[in-house]
Amino acid sequence: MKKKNKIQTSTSRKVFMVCDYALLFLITLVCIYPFWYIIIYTFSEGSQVDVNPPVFLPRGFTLSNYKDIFELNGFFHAVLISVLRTVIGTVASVLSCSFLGYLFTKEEMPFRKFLYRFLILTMYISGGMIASYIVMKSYGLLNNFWVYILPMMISAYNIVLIKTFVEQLPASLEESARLDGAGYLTVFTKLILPLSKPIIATVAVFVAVGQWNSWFDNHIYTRGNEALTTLQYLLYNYLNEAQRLADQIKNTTNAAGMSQLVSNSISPKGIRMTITVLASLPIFMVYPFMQKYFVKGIMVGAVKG
Amino acid sequence: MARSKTVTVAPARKPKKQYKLLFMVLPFMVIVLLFNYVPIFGWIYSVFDYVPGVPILECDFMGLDYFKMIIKDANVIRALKNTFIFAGISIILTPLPMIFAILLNEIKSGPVRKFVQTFTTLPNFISWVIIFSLAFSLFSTDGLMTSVITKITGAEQAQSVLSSKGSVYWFQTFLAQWKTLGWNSIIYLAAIAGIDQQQYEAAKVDGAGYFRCAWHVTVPAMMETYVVLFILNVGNFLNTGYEQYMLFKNAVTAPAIEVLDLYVYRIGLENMDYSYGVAISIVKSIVSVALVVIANMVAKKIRGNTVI
Amino acid sequence: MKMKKVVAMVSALAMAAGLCTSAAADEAATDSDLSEHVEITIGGINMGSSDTKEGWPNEVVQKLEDKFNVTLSLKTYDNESLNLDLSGGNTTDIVQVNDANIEGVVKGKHAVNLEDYKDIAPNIFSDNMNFRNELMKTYKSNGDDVQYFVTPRVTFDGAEANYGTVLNNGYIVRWDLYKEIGCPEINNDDDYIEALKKMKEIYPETEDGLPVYAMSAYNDSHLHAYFYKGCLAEGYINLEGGIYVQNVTTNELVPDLYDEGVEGDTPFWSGIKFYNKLYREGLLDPDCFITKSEDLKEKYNKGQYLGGSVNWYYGTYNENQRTADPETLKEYVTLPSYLGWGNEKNLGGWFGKYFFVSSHSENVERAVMILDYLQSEEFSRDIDSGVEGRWTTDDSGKPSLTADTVAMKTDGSRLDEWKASGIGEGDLSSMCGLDYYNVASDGGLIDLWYDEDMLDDSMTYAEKDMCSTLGIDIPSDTLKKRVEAGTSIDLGTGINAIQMGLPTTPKNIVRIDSNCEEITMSAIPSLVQAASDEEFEAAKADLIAQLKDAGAEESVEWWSNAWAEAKTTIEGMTK
Repeated sequence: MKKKNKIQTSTSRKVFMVCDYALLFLITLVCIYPFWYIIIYTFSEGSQVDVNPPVFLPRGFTLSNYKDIFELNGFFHAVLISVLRTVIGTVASVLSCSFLGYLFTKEEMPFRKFLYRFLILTMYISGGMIASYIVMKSYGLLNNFWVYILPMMISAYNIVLIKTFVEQLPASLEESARLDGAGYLTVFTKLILPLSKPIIATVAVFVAVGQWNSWFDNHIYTRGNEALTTLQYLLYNYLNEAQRLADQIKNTTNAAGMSQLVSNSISPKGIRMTITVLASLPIFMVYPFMQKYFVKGIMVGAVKG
Repeated sequence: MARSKTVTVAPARKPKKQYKLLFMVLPFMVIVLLFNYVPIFGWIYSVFDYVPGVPILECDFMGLDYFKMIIKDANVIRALKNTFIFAGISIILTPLPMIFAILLNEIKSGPVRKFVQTFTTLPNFISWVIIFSLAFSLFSTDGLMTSVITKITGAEQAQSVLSSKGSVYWFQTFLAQWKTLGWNSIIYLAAIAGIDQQQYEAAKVDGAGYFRCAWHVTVPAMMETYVVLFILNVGNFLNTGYEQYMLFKNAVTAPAIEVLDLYVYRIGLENMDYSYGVAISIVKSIVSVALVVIANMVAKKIRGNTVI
Repeated sequence: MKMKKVVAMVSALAMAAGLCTSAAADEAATDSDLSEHVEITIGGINMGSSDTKEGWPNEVVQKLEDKFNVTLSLKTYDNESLNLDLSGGNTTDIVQVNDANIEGVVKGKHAVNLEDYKDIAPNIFSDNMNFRNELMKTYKSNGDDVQYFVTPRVTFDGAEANYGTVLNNGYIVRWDLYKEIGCPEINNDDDYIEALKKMKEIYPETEDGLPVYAMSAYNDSHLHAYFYKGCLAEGYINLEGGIYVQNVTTNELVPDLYDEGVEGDTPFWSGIKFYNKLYREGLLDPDCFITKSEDLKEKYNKGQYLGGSVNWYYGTYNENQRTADPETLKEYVTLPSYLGWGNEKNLGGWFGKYFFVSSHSENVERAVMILDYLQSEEFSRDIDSGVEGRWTTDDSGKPSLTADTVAMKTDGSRLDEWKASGIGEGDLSSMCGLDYYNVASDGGLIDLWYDEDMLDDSMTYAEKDMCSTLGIDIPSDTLKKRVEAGTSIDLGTGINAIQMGLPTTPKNIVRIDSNCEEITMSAIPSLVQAASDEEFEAAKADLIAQLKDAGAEESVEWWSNAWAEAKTTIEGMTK
């Protein structure tokens, strides 16, 4: 950055590029290897990993970690629920957040500042779990699919991101559209949405990952209805079971009870690793697809023409 | 960019209020009210000695006792100190994801970029429990990294960073950054993608090289996002989360690692002290809002317009 | 909607099936209507969920379901979800809670008064349960003086415990190494450390070249690793958290951490001194303060430890060694310490596990009947020894496990069958009414696996070698001999029911105790790593001063008074 006033020579550019590649390579490596380790761990034989952890390739080869999970009661139903909540939740949230993000850029909105701050405030306050539970119960949302969608639909954080992005768009574009007689809705759908693809893709990734991986709402609001069990919650319970067996031994002060509990077959660690792999699936499935919206910068001219 | 916008919109005419817009926003605001504001009634638990399961009005009324307790609680003070250090460091490091995005943006090869972009987000999906167990195998006394560090520093005896009080802050910061860097940079990559390509062309016409393009076009375009996120983050100063600290807490690191969130978690779950936990979280909320308001005012002083 | 149809169909079918059996089978609940098939859910803190249980519903559960025309499922509660269900008033039909929840349950009127259902609960109100019931009425009713709760695993008069085949806690050694150094007698911590030293000399590193240590600590259970070691060495049982401990011989309460005015070492300080000695001898794992259960297990698996005090972590190592060589001597075995963790008298049942029938249940009567059945001798025998057929009675009427059942337990290829049999299923096992050692009405133990004839059946090669080397029949005889010689004690003299007589700890005391625990936790490194006695004493004085500042004396006062009162009353009740 110090060099900004000097004329750029191609050598300094080259040096920079080499350093840049080297640095990014290093960062990527540090990010990939632990993940690779987790993957090979999940394919390693359980009896071997503790004694001899894998390094580059699995120790032995087994699918049992995955098999155990696929064989869980209601696995496919849980996947279905997870996919449903991810798809519906993402569409609903992205649409409403981007619409709100756009509306809040409009200075002609009455009480704009107040409403915007009213929204932002939600990021910092919460009534606590018990209150939320009682509220959901009174809305009839307990054991109801919509409890996965509605409370998370309007995210102040995402709206701020979108609003900031929309504000950066050349204002002249919208003005000329408005002069042509387009209403707010038309401007939003025909102009803002296409131009905001990068930020919408980003928010979509955030929301989708959040939806796919959330289990806590399942845990507190929909425990009573097995038909609404999501994949992550199923896995959470499965992991808990393994963890619980391990803990139970310690919480038992009763002599005879203790000896009954000594042998526990499933290792929480292997399960945890497998869950990590499953949790990151959407990023592999959705993110590369979304990235095409990141790569190209927008062409204002193209939109105009 | 921000400047050009104010020029086109602000001074010429005061836009007429459009009530149509209000009607468009209101349904959404009702949802916000229902799901974010109605539950705030839970704050009432802080003035009772709440026993879960007992109707609130049958619980003992405590007045402001819990709030007074916060001030006297030595744990809160210590936890605050740790929170300040962790949060302070992470605030200082907030430009990292932006820098990372710029560096990544300089790479013109599409596949390489995509690869780096995708795979650097992976640590975000690794839970703290697993990070702990990975860290344990690398950084325990006979771990690989410990022997490397021992060689580098020339220390006589291998000392694990996991059981070293002096290393807590930088080591935990390192882990947190590792976990979130790639993920947090996504938003800046989006901001870069939003830059009007004409600006680059214009800059090039002016004779700007790569660095000047980056400095005069890319950075300003990201600054807006950065400042907004920065202000929001200032509000989250006290919300450091507890998971990471809970897992890496041990007899040696305990005094340095317990942050406020971890303390609240502990009193809520282990002591079943629900009401006290609510009281602390109320104070935290107030502090958060105050911090955001201050940050917003400072931003107004410096930049001429508020962010929020 | 589809779900509902399926449920309806399933229940209709089950109802038909249930009708056939229930009429004949049931005597206890003659006057209650079982014709409607219902679902009964038991939820509990730390209880597993039946969704994730293999082989559910197992034979034991099927028998219960047929008998009462119900579908039974188990559900996990954690503190969070239990609090929510209590606040929302929609708990499971039967709930198991711990001491901290009792006040909320009773005050919030979430539990039904079991005494109103005496007619359909003969097992709960059987004479053998009188003491337990009296405890529940007096201490677990928040002053209402009615019975809301029952506890599991009540020890009846005349139950005579044995120590099982192997010991669970004490001085753990690697058998091959211990044998190699000549099986020196271990009477106390110092003997043990000497033995560990010798073992390390002949085995300084593992076959893979990894360093070997005497032991480490599990740090994910607060102070447990330290005070529990001391409990075994000094003859105490701990109250939850280990801040207070109960002397097994005198049943006095002793403050464990803040030991001002206590003669001799309390368990915590005994444990800490032991760890300090290990440290000074260079035997302690340098990662002692950061290892958690999982890490410990891995290190045991790699053979990096020579000893320990609890048997929770070395199971996989032993198994791995046996798989590699069935006649291996490389196995961890447990030798007795001063206190042998056996022969426990749970006159009031297990503490910390209180079952109640929810007043929100749609089928209160049925739930009471199920809870009552869980308390029965029949169910207890079923869960410990399998349903009848898995065990049979001989001509003299004495029950014993069948050879097939015994074979099934150790045959890995019959694991599914074993799970489906339900024998010893962990969660059901900790909700049945009778202790393992109670003598059933047919003259056999509830848990037939503890029958004297069964004990030597399940020994491994290394354990057999241990027995022949030490001249005993089964490994636990090491403890038996010591108890007979008066050099060790067991839990027989301890009255753990006193712990149930304590009132709910006031919140300010909970806070003080929790602070003391935290303060102590942070002080451990400087204590364990003290290089000399002076340094140790200085670190101790420092900690004691900190505890005092944190209000330890206020806590000690509350606990001492509460304990004295409970002890007097309960000792009176047991006489």
